[in-house]
Amino acid sequence: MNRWKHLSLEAADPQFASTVAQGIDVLAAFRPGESGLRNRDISDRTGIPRPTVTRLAGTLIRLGYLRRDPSEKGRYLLGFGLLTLGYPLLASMQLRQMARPLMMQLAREIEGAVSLVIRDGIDMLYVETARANEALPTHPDIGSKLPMLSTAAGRAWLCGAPARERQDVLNSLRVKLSAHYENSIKAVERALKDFEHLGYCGNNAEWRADTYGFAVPMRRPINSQLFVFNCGLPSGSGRFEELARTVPPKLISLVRGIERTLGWEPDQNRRPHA
Amino acid sequence: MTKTGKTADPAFATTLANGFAVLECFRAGEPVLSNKDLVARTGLSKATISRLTYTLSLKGLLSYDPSLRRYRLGSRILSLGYPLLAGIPIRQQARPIMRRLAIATGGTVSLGVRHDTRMVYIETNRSHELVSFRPDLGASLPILATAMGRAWLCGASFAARSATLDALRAEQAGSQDPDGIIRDALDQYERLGYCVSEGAWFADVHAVAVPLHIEINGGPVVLNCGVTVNHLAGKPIADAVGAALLRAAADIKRLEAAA
Repeated sequence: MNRWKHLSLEAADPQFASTVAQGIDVLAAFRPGESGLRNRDISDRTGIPRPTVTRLAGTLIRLGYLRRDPSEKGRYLLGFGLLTLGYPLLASMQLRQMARPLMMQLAREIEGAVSLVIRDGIDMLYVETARANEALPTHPDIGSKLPMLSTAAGRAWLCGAPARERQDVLNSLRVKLSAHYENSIKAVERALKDFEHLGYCGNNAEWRADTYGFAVPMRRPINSQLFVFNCGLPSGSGRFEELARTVPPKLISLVRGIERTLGWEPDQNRRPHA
Repeated sequence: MTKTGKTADPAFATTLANGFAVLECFRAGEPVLSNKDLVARTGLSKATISRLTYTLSLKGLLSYDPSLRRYRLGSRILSLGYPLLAGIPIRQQARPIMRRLAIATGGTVSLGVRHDTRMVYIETNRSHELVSFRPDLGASLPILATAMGRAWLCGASFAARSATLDALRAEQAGSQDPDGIIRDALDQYERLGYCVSEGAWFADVHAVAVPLHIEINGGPVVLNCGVTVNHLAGKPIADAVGAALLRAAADIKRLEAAA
């Protein structure tokens, strides 16, 4: 995946600071579940030549965004500076603070996890989670990502997003993940249609065999960000159809309650369940 | 934060550092900034800032709000740091224990590690919502004024503690006496098994903290419990929370031994 050789458009753009972009690509080469990367691994994944990786990594270490692995020479780890960089974003989402006690309460009722999710490019991203079931196989966690087309949260985002933004994201997905797109688009179209009368999206173990999901988008974006509330349940907790009768109404009432607290007028003529 | 000392080094990618300097301008209380604000804060030229904000937006680290004509941090900033968190399994394992402690004490229970001369939260579980300080993932705290920082100093190796104290002395230029604070903290740790800070950082929060047996960045992961002065109602935090904190630390250790 030699991306830097193909990005002629970006490279030719004088407004594009390619050193910054490459530095970010170095950080983005790290994946959950791996214990660190060597210069060669980073170069292979990003297509950035090794001497450049050395220079960028050296800079990122001095800035606190990478560390040298104390247990293995020549291996890099992500630095804790990345966490402090994200803090202002998390702390400024007042919805998280407000929703937290309600999410915890619902998590206990359904013996699952209740999360708050936003879009991150062509993925969905957890920004808050309340878990009453640590056995949940997906371990929802702040900063971790979900695919968009095969999850309840992603589909709910597509249902709630402004039409133009939804189309942009679907176009990107078709280009960047064409196989996934072709496999999922039928189910997504069905979800968009069903959402009109159901008011939620479901995921009947389509993303992972061990997990069900139910999700409800807020009626409109906050600070140009559409928030989605999501319930995750282990598929061992019952039949999907039965859970789909009990869980979504509770989730919908949580979301509508939060919207009322925010002072939003109830939306009369859109969705019967809303 | 001066980056001037670093620019003379040819191996240092100044443009990359400038890109991050832009991201570091955002604060919890100031989540939206204009190009003009960024020029004022970084000292970089208008042309440089517009090139950096353009690139950072394309990369998803900034997001432009057309109605405000200002930038916010982009959601990608959170996913970029996630592999780091995922590599610290104690966060997930300790969660139920931390939750129990938060409920039992009415406080906020966190895990933190040292990063340079600050402590950074890597996990937090709250049973109250404070206005003055929102304990949250990635929040950073001073070392000397907090129970968490003092507990880190007590649990760190001699070499790591000395290096950090040296860096703190250089940074603070004598405004606080690190030697007095570390003496008191070590003495307290010896007697109680944990460290205490009663309003030294935020006047309305008292906290106790204990170093755990897990090491990151040459020092311990620290377990911390902060309770508001209101909630304590005159009771010393050591009496109210100390024993429960030590039990939680022991539970976490047992959990590790079993794993």
